[in-house]
Amino acid sequence: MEINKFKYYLAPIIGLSIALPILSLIIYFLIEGSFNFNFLKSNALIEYTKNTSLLIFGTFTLVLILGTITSYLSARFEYLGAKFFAITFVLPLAYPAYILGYTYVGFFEYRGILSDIVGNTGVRFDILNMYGAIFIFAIAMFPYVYILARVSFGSISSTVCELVSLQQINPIKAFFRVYLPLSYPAIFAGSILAMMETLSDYGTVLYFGIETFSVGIFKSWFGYGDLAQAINVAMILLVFVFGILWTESLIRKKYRFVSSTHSRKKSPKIKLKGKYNLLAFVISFIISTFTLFVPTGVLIYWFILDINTLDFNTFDYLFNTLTLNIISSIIIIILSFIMIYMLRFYPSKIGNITHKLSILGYSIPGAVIGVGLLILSSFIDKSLGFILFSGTFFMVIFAYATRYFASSIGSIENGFSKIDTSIDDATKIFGKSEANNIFKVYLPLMKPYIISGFLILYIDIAKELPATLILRPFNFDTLAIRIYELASNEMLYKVGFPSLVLILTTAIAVMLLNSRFVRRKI
Amino acid sequence: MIKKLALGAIVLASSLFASGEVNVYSHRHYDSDKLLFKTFEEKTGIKVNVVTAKAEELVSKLAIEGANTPADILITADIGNLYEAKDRKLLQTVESKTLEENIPSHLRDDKKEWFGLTKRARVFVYNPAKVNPADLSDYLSLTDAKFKGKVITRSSTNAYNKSLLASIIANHGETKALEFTKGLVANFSYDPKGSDRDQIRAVAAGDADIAIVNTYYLGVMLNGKDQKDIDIANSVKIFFPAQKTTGTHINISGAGVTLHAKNKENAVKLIEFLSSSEAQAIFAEGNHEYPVNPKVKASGTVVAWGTFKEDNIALNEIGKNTKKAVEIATEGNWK
Repeated sequence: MEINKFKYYLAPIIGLSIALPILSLIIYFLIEGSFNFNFLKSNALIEYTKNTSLLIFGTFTLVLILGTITSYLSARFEYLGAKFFAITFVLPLAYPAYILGYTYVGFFEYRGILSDIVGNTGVRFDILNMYGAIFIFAIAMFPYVYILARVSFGSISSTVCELVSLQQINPIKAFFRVYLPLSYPAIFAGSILAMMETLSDYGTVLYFGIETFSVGIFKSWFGYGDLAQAINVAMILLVFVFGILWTESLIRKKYRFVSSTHSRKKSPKIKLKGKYNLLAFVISFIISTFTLFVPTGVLIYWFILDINTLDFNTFDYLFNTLTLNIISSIIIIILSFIMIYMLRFYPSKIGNITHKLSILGYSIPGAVIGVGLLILSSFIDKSLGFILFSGTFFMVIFAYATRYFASSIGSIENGFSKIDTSIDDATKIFGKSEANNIFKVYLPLMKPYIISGFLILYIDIAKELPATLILRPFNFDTLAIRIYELASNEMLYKVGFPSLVLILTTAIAVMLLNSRFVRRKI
Repeated sequence: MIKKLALGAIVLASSLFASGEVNVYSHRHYDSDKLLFKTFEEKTGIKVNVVTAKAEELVSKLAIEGANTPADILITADIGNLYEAKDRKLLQTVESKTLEENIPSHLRDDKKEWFGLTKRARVFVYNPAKVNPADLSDYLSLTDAKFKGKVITRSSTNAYNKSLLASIIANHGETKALEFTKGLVANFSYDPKGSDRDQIRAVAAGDADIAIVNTYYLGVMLNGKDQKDIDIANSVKIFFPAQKTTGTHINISGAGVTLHAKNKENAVKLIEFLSSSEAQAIFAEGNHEYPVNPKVKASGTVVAWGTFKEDNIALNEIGKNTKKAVEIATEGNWK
């Protein structure tokens, strides 16, 4: 009985632990300072709010458009190059936003690569502004919508499609009238991921000269050495995040009916002919040119410039990246599995609350989580009287867990939601031990979701920079760190080689995520 | 990974018992530094453990870690953060004849808590087709109405601009500094964005006529593999401001031994090595900064720019005024 009681606490304990770095910041803030209400009236806050709203609204809109077009084309039609584009649409996920930012600056700047291609030094395009930033975030993140909505569009039942063809509605009209409303939840879920990630970004927005909340956090912290004021801004950012999550849950409730129109009997893809075939090809080609071909081309160009001076230590950084990422991802996915499993079989109100808390980290800048964790570990180490955590890998992995728990439990939750409760009942009737049920029943059923959660974590963590920067142990540099160092030295072409190596690893993860094996059951 | 973890444990254990290493928190992320640490290891057998991050983060980290910090040395790329560390009592005094001999007195702390390693000059880069250098003088002159819409520099959040503004406060007082900020902002071609390299490019492109940048960025561009960077860097010219008044603003990269250093002896040895002629030459050639050690010459690229009068104001004065500079930049709406 005692053990069973403990099981009710397991999910809340995990959820709370994951949120600890954020909670410790809040506690630190409550002890060290108080909320500065004057700040609420300041011009700076208006500026941050305006810029942040514009940025995430713009990104949301563009992600929505790109994600919906690509997923609709890919899920519903056969056309020239469709199989190829199905892959190129998902690959931008392998690129960190900051690398996309650098490549586009290198492409469009004065005497940039574009001016070389057209042979006219006057040809350039200023992207270091709000529109440029929206563009960069959108191309970095539209694959979230693409991946989710493609499944949704693909699983629309054949009855619906037959109805559409009986009514002789043209494909474009059918899209707006029928298919789009049916896929809202998936599209929104993806767009919200994109918004949360955009909120957490610091490096790219600073480089583009846009003062968002995260820039505000760092301005207070770095400018005045005032951590309490920085946390002030972070609190307002949290309110913003809650607002988005709340809106999302409202939308999700509203469209709950949708699942009933998705059936097992999937409708076949439509073969496009003539002008429609050409149109689909041209649209896909343009989208992939901007989201994939240009950035990759720029990196390859830089790599060629650097070819005689390549830094082969890059492979040491690769080794560090791979080992740290794989171990972190495994630990986080196990925690996610335990948390969601426990919430399913031993639910509690507090469990649900901690579940919400555990996903907050997804929209908090990594450096802020890093500082929260430093405060926490320092407190523990000081209380113990010796160093247990500070400067160890434990800290880095903890930070990743806080930062990316949302993306891994998303996958696990999705998996559990597909397991019918009758299976739960059946396992009870057989009366085997719980461990037996987990290993013989649930883990095998969940395999593809666990793998996809692992891959998503791997991709996110490989791209992570700020928390790794603050927390990593001595003499341990990852590819992302190396890219940051080279970019800070403002030698853009040197960024090419390590970026290509990093993207190669994340691209493999993206391809696996996209493969039949993982996708089959999602 | 297990190997790394074991290694980490060994590093941790040995830091408690042995004295064969030194732990460095550094904001300098240049390859020249990697080479220098390796050379030091080979010469002395003392292992150098390094973690790089932004200086502000490293100072916060030192403060939060307190007595538990593993760091023996803090290295920053500007005086503002070094002073902040000193001001927050995170550094300790170091007695070293070698350091006093190698580093001129105005480039080290009078309380011996920090020591300059390299100098960086904050200068104007201008487009010779559009600007007559005879029209240029000191930093304050950039507020002149004739430069309306022609000046650019990075964000005021950038450490080098903070130090520059702090030096103007120290040299001319707060009122003048605010006037300067407002006048500068009024003359901006556009709101600050991008890196120093982007500012240089913008001048070459004709988007602006004058940019305030550190010299070594130009040095790095001139010595890179990207021919377009080289062309661009060659198409602009350097002007050393304030030659008739205070002298060109000088910032430093510098180091200090942390208050709770467990390997103080090794830490001092490393800083001494970094100030030696051998190390200073590597700094000078690697990243085209100015060496602090007067016995060492700057790189060929840098020497070609000529000599100039430096602002020798006490760097602690600049450090002291850094927070004031942030306030003034905010008040003057320098983004």
